[in-house]
Amino acid sequence: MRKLLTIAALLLSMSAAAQKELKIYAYGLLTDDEGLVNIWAKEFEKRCDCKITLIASNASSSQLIQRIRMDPKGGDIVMGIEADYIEQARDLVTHHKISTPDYPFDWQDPEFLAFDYGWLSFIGKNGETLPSSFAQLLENPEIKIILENPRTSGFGYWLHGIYGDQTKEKWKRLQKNIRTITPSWSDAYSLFLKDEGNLVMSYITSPAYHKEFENSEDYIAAIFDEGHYLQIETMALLKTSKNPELARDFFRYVLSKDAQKEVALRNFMLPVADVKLPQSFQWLKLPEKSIKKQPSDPKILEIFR
Amino acid sequence: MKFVYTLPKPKFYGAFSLLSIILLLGYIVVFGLVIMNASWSSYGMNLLLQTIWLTLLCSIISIVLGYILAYMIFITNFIARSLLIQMLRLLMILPIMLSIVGIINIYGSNGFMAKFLDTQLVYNRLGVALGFCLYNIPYACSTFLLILQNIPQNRWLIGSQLGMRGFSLFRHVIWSDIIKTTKNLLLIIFFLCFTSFEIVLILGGGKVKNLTTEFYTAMSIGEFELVYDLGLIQIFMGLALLGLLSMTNIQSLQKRGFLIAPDFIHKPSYYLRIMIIIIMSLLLFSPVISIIIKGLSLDIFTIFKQPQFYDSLWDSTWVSLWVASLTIFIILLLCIYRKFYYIFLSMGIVFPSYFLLSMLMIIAFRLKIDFFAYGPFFAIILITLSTIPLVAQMILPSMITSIHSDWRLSMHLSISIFSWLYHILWLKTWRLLLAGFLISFALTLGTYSVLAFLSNDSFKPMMALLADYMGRYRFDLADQLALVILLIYIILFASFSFLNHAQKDDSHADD
Repeated sequence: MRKLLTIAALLLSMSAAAQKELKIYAYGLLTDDEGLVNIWAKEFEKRCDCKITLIASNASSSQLIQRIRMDPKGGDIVMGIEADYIEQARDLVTHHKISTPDYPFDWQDPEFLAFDYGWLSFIGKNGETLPSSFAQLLENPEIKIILENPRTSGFGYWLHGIYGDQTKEKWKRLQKNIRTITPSWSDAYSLFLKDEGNLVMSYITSPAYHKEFENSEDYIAAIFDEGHYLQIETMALLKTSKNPELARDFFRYVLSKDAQKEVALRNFMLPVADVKLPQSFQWLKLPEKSIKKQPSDPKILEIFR
Repeated sequence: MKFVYTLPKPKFYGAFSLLSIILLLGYIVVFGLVIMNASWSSYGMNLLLQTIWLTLLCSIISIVLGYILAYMIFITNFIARSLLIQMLRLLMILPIMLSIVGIINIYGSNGFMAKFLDTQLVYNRLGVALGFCLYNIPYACSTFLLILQNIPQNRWLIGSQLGMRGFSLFRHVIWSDIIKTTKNLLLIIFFLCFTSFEIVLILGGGKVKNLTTEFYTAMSIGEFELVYDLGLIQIFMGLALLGLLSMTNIQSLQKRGFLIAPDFIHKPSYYLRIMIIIIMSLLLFSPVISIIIKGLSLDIFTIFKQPQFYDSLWDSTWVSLWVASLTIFIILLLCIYRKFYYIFLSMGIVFPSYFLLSMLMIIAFRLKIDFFAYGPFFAIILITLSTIPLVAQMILPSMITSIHSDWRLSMHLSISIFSWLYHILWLKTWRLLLAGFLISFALTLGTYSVLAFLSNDSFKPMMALLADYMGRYRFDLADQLALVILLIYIILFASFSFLNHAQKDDSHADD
């Protein structure tokens, strides 16, 4: 009897001591050794006495969503779904029940919380004359641009946000400017660095990388009068979460100033909290007008077929 | 000559039939899923019709130029001839992104050729045509050279005695042998072009698209209706290919010809031939040479200081070893059960649909399998299926040739299957098998799409690491890693060339 009691007590104490676990899905660049989510996870583990498992997908937001769908065990959190794709993942997530922080942009979503953001922009060489608007770009077909596929990159929404019903016609005119379209951002940027085009579509924060790590001001973003597409990266609580409270604690940590100060140099995006930006970011020009995806027109990407 | 096997003891027949049936069942299930979900819109058909002429034209150009180069090499003796032949094989197995980078170095906006000709050579239809041709000419050339080297010696002799030259020599001596291969080659190159993704998207400048580019894009943005529509066309085309290819037998090489054309065959001027060979070689090899030359300015040792490099090298190595072993095992079986060859060959064509639609199938049926816990396992299976067609094309005819003379003898002696495998197949063809092993290994090293989907932080092969570096603006490290991958290819390829050369020596010793 005494033995049984001892075993029961031991089991009870073991279960009490068992660490809680958080399983987080994110794309590969967020989870590798230098990745933003990896750094956050390590820091959060120290604070929560919990274990965080990162599940990486080396692919796009859409493939990240499919990956979650394919996992029969499910997880707790998904991180890195771009705002363009949240409707595809809506059925996988649940209410975060966190008071929405004071974002620097308009964002109210019961399920998805923004954790960083940036504007799409054309990056060119410092010293060359860069167009100051899409209209100017279209008037100068000799300015060659390298684009990531407009259907997968947000460029399509950017153009549509500016031109609305005229998007198809403008897209046709833009063909004269296009040097090439690549499958991914990195292919486009790599070609740009090889001088294959005058401008590359990237993030407005890209020049900060060259400033920070190469001490170079050779590249700058072209600021367009019509505005820039706002790309927002989000996180959400999965319906399959076994530790929703712990997940919410993680969200609160991610949105804290302490965590947000990592965003700039780890992910080369802008933090959603009011934290001091590194010197390399203070040099950047930011747009005055933001363009967001219009939810009313889900078929807009067919224009770019 | 038709060549049919009857196995001494058909013990493996059942197991191999089962494997083929599983593969066919896979086709059927994916096919059923696609048919159920397709919206049968006309977009896919329009796309098919729009791109068919460019693909067909490029396939024909690749075949014509491949034949011209093969014939010039066949009738010309020059220093480094053997090296050139082997180098052509390297071009066939290089990762496509490396080839594209090389093509852009030479033919891109700042490339030597674009500046020399003062015109835009890539980022348009011409760019796609260039990419297709540069990628497929080596394949066509290697295949034609093998056929030319197997035309019976007496046919050349008779042709020469009858004073045939130029077109009459081609029509009466060569044509009957190359026509069968040409048909198969045209089909295969056509489908290789058709399933091309990066070449069309990057070198086409976004102005050219095909079924595969649209398929991947639709997958990326979750347009599943379009995925099913395009998948349907791909699968129909794959089945058509299966049907067309299965009408012909694999041509076994009989070692009856000349490795190099003898003097009595009429040949154009030596200088003309050399000039053609030099010009075509420069066109074909300049992209790879440009990567190496640009690589010389890189501080390649930085990559060796990165701990992730060794992890990814290890991951790539063990996955490649597994894929290569499985590929060789299946090719060995295909050597025996040749009727299943085309099932595997067609997999090369429908593979993008097969892979991506399999993923959709898992989602649709919510299978209770933790797919990603077994990511490397599934990656090995899928990459093996995509590797078999090319490796089989490269080594199967020579393997069949090597064992051709012994199979009947082994039947008469009623030896066991294991004795047969060891004494006939292994001892006669181990160098070929090893060469096939190295090719599979190299192809796996360069695979990205499957691994990108299935890899994670604890399993990150070199191509995934390359993509990571590029995603992190570390283009310096990406360039270094690309150069290291190219060097690994050159080492593997040098080993392959050595083995292939030794195999030929052995074959001649047998004669």
